[in-house]
Amino acid sequence: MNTELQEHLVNAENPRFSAFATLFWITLGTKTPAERRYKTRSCLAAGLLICWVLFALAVHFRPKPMIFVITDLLWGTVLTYIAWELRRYLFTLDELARRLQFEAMAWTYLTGFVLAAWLGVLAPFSHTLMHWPYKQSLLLLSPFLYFLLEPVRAGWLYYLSRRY
Amino acid sequence: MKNRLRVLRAEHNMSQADLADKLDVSRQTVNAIETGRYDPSLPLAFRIASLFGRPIEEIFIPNGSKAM
Repeated sequence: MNTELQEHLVNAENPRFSAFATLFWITLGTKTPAERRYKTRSCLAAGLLICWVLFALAVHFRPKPMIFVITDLLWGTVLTYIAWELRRYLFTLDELARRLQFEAMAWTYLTGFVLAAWLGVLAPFSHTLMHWPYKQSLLLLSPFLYFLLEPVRAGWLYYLSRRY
Repeated sequence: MKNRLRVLRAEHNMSQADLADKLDVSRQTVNAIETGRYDPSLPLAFRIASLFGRPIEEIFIPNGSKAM
């Protein structure tokens, strides 16, 4: 084989994991069927949740206890389903991608742990301002913590994937 | 750890994507191994050695060792 073709084979390919996929989808953009499946099913589940929440808001969410219960259960079910799909996706990854994903999760856990610890430290000071943690309605925010931590995981995954 | 993966791949007229397909890993993993930024697991190292029909120690060279 001539040298030019060899050079092409060796150097032509973009070596990095996709930055967009890493930051937006929190996958590594390897374009496998498992990755497509994870993205599609997670989007459908999240879409269902969003549609239901919009519907619930449209029919006066708070005064109707049944809608409140259904919304509450749907949050848990959808997030559990997305977590299950993520688990399935993770088990299809090769060793480097899986290592990056798990490392990003470990760092996200530690970040969340530190944030939670600081919230605990700040709680007595914030008591007079927002009655935290005694104000029960704040517990309604708990599902949002998942979404708050996802950008953190994306950030860690991006940072870690730049090493390779 | 250094390795001769890029040389062997070029000798076999394979792109990174071709090699990744044969090893059942991503192209980025192949690239990370070639550039020495990632050391493969033992099973993957054996798969690479088997694919090129060479002993592992001929492909992967520990740092500080004399290259073959």
